Amino acid sequence: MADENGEERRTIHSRLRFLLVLILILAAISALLHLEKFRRLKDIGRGKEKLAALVRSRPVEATMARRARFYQIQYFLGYPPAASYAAADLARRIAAIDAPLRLLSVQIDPGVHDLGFELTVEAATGGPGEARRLAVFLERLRHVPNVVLADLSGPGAGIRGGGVRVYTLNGRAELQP
Amino acid sequence: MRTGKLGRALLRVLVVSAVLAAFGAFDWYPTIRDLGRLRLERNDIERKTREYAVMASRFASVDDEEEQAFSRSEAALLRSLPLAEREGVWTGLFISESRTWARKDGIRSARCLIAPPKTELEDIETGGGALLANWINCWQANAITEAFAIAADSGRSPWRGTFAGLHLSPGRRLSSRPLAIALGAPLPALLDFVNHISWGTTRLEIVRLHLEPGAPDSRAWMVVRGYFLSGYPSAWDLRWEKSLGDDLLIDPDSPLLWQKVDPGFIYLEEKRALAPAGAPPW
Repeated sequence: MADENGEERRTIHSRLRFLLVLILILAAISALLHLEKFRRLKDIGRGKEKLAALVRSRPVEATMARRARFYQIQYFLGYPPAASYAAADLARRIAAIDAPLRLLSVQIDPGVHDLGFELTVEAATGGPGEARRLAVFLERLRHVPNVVLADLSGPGAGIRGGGVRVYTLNGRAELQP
Repeated sequence: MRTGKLGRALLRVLVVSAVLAAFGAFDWYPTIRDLGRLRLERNDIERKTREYAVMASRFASVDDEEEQAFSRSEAALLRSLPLAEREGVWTGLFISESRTWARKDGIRSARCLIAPPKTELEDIETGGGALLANWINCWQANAITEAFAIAADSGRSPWRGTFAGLHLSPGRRLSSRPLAIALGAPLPALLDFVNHISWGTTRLEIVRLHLEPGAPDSRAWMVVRGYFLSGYPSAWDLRWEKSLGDDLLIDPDSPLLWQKVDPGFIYLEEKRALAPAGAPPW
């Protein structure tokens, strides 16, 4: 009887030791994993400090922003007279186009980098020459210096009466060559 | 008995498995996942540091000369904005400069439009003024009103970024006021005036130019816009709540940004006279 009790106690102790050893091993594995996690966090912190120090000593983006602002200001300062000249010069060249059409109006909308323009022209209707005259005018318009785009577009031809038809042409021109 | 032993063995296996599963689910798996994330983050920071070091080695840093160029540039920007305590001062400056250029350029008749047509007309020169007024009121009113609306919309200003960095004195505010002027003159004189509109203190920008060639006089109207510093709140104070249209952006990849700025750099040609009348168009 006593032997049986002793054996039973030994068995229980053995099982408890096994369980304890198992838990210790598992805890050790956990500790190693957490240690590695802590080490990587430290590495990241050091890396961020190093990058921040590098950015402080050589502020590339901040300097580029300051230089970009310098060029923005220079452009702003030169823009009004440049745009006025470009608009007046474009109107002068368009009005000087020698073409068998009558220029009714020129509208110019200066943008930041280029000019938009819209012309209305008048052509006598009838006869096969109307389309040819318009084509000649359009071709000469496209050859005006600084004009990069010109086309017959907009609301389309309208009859004014008196045997004339009005056309609208749109386009774009560079602000400066 | 053997069944009892088998049962106890099975129970031990279940207990061990439960302990392993608990460790795995509540500790190992989240930690291993974090380790993966941290490894990627560490590699990313190391890569950024390497790339920044390479970039910085090729970059020209700011020196005293360049700092002075920056300061002069900011000062030039502030100087370019006339100080008009109130909006009426600005409008008066516009009329005065327009009158001066109209006389110099030989403009026969001109009218300044302070607001959309039919209000506050100011004759600069007489002679043909009635015809001009009739043309504006009967034929051009809607078009001028539309152009005024465009000019008055601060969201369409391309200078938002430029003005965003402006440091104003306390009590000063940046304003913008659209105005218009209608003209009747021979075409060369009219185009000279268009060219000169931006040469004055007001530094007016043309928002829209409408021109009708004719003989002996051509007719034109322009809606213009200028920026000025004022001392009192007004409806013309610039607000940048919304952004429409193009803003002036500098290409971030431009090689100009890697080098020191040239203090003498001129982006756009300054004031130029038009070719004289009769010169070939090109």
